[in-house]
Amino acid sequence: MTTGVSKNSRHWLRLRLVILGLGFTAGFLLLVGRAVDLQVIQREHLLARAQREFMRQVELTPRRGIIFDRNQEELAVSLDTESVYARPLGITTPKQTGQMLSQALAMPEEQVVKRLKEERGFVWVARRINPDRAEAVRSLELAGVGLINEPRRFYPYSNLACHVLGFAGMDAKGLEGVEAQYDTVLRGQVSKVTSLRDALGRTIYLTPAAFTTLPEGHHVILTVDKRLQYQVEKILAATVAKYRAIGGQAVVMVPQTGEVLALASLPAFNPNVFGRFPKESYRNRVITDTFEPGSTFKMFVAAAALNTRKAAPHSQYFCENGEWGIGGRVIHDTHEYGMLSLSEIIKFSSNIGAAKVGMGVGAEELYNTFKNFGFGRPSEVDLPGESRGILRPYRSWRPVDLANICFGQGVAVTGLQLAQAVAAVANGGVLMRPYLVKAVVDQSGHLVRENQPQVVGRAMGEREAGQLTAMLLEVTQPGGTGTQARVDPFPVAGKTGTAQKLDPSGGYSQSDYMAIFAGFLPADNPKAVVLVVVDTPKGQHYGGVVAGPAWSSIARAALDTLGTQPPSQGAQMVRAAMPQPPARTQPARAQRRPVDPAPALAQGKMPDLRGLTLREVLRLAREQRLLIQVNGWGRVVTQSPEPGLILEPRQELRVDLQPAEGGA
Amino acid sequence: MAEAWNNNGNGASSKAAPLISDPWLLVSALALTAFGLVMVYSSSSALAGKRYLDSAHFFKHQLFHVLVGLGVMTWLASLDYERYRRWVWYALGGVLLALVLVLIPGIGHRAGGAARWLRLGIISVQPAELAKVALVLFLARYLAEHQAESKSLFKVFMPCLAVAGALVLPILAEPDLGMSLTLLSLTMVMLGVAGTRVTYLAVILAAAVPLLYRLVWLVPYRRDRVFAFLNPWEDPAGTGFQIIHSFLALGSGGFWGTGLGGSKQKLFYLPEPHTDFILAVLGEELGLWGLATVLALFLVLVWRGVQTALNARDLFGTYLALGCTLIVGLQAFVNAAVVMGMLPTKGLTLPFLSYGGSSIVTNFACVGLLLSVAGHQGRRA
Repeated sequence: MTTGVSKNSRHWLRLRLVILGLGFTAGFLLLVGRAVDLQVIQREHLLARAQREFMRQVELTPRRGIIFDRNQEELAVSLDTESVYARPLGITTPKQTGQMLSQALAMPEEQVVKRLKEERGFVWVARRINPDRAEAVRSLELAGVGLINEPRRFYPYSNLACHVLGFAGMDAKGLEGVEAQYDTVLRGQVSKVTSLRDALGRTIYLTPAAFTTLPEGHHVILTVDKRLQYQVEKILAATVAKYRAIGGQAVVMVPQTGEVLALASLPAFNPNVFGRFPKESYRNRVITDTFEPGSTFKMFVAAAALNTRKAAPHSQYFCENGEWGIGGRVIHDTHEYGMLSLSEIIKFSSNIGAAKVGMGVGAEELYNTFKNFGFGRPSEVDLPGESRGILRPYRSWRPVDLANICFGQGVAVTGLQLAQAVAAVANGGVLMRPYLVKAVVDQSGHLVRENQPQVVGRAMGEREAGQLTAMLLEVTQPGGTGTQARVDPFPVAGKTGTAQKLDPSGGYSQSDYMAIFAGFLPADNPKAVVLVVVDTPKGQHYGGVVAGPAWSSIARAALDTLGTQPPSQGAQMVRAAMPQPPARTQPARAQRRPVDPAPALAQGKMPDLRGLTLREVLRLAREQRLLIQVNGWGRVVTQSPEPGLILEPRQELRVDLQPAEGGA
Repeated sequence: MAEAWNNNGNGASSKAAPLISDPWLLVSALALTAFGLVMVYSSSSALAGKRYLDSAHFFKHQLFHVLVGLGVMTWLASLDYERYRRWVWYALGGVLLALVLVLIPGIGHRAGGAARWLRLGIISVQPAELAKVALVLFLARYLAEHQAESKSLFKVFMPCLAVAGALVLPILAEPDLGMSLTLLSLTMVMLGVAGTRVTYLAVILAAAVPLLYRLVWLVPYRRDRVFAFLNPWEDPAGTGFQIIHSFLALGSGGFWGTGLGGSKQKLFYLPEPHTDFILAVLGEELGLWGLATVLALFLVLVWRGVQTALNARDLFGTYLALGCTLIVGLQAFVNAAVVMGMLPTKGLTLPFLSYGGSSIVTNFACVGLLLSVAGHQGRRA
């Protein structure tokens, strides 16, 4: 450097360099201070805010498990549908985006824009939309908007077994029936992928492949037989319609196990569109509603008398010629009877006789017997919302109360309790817990849990149960009240009930009755317990008249389903030719071999679907993205469009199914 | 020129190999690079996986440029810096040409609305990065040769400003305001250290106010950035988005961090996680200790640079060391301040850490020049 540079100048230059270094030091210390501020002092609220953004997201619910009937027919399935979500924080032009979205979704624009403007990390825009709209949204490729696979619950048979199945709501949460009771099982593990969602709203660490292996819930196999359930519903509906009743109940149970083969309640609803039905129709009256059992209760009075040895079937009672005053009240019989045996009291359904039998037994013993038959306590069936009924403690019974209870007044039972108690008679006195779910299996079909028949306790002695059965058999014999419930040639044991309904104003209604028939068959070797209750029939109100014929039809259908053959009558063996397997095995179906759909599909043509099962058709429709509409059950018999037509995506497909006819 | 204005370096370091003439300097630069490579991979893998279906895409590019940078550094360190004095005019001319070429549509490569890159075969160069080195070379030579008139307005202040202006104008036109301001502040600080009158600097700053008004206030996106800086929480979904997510990243990190790969903000919440805001991801994954370590490494680098400037055998060496230190130090400070919300968003990278080829090579070149100054204190080529 030139000599012009003075020593002084150099000195100042060095000083300024050091000052610069110190300045940098001060600056970097400031930065560290700020880092401490952000990372230590403000950490709490920053972290909370960060987590709010990427953690408070929607949980990915796995595909809900299938509900099968006892023969592995699908009653509730989950179909793949997509839902549109948005990440408002990532949308810079909510107006524009909203406009395009609303067009694609056919939704009001303001509604969409409003959602897009919400200050949240994640909002649903539209859920479980049809494939057309999903495709339209996808093709828009909007930033901050995405689609998620959200399976939708589909009940292929609409109303069928709606009260058993219940339904699952928007968030795939079971709200009623088995869907609710077995919700955690069906739903499976809700995967917490929520914190792994990136700013584009994509699910991180969940590669497309992971979507196909979306965790699925377990499948539930019911004890219900779909074909029987269908017939039970049909018969019950016809009866309810015939008598312009306000409702009805029907239950079919296996007495030895407690398995419920069919359970119907009217009014019903369609779980696919449950929102369109009144809330009232969701109620499974068989377990939620209680009613006075009326004369059906006499069989349990008789059971108490037999069990306590206070009476034998032939024990005689004076029935006061149809009118008997007790405790300031007068009890009537429909006919004037003099001396009747216990057996006849049941057969003719004498109120006075039943009251006298009950008084002979005594309040405490009666009460204990009723308790042992399951009254006044929940049956612990695997459905939600069960009522326990009303059975007041015997200490509070006045003599007139005791008399009334003996013909089913002043007690209240659910239909299922009544069916369960009748089943105990059929089962030699052993009370079984009723149940609707046979087993839970995982995705690969491995048994996760099997519900075994469960003994609740002994309600009466076996010998006495036999005696009672013999008495109940008389009910359907000529002269009895239940002759219309006969299922020839099978012997039927049962009891009619015609219970006056309680008037809301107090006292008993003179016009509204519950018509009941409860019983089992074949009486000598019980296979099925059937209960039919018709709520407030018009015109007729006797249990034997109103409920009896329906009971007979249902019982016959139940025996058909169970493959029960008439006892030892060779001429009746025609039915044996039918391929009616025992209930536990897969029913042999299909007389017609279905055509393999693959070649037609390869040519882009509608395959011949006839002969395919619902499950096969559903899978095919899913793969080909067809909008399917299903009618009936069994195998496909007709289809629209016809086979051979050119397939278009998202085409509508309508199939009618029918059960395979035996021997055809 | 002949005289070494400083004698203490004589002899002692003359025999040391230039590359390890200042181990502290070299080690801090390499440590920062190591941090950078790890963080580039961690912060960009999600983005790279999405864009290129190769989560190591950015990492591989960065590694390549680090290797190039190391080569450039070794080469520059091995030569006596006296030689670079002769390169000043070529460097200035070449850079100016490149800066103009960038602006010509068809030649300059546009990205994100700005034309900042030149495509040379398979590599693309950001001439503005190289302009920093060229400017420092020029200023070092000019200030060294005019030390006696350092207070002169016309002989020192104006010429230096004119050259800086010539480089800044095309950069402003790209547009790249951050880089322009960097070049101008670099010039100001060097002039200040050289001993120019404080009044000149003050006048220039005052003159810059209407200019900044024009360049910042009237350009919507820049004005938004200023507002976002002043109150980021006002508009968390819009202008404040970037800085808020930087805060959230740092806050989530806490003292120990969420662990490498544990950043959630990098998952597209934080724009540019591997470039301008890499420090936020580092703060989230490595926590306060990691962030403080990086800042400390930069401070070590700055102090070794100042030391090199103090110990240089001549004024050219002093100013060259100063300029190179400033290139790294100023930019590191500004970037960190932006990430922590202390300065408005500029679009500046963090030396040695941020992804970016030209930036990496330029910073290694600066270290190479510093090492050359440090390694040639006693003799001349």
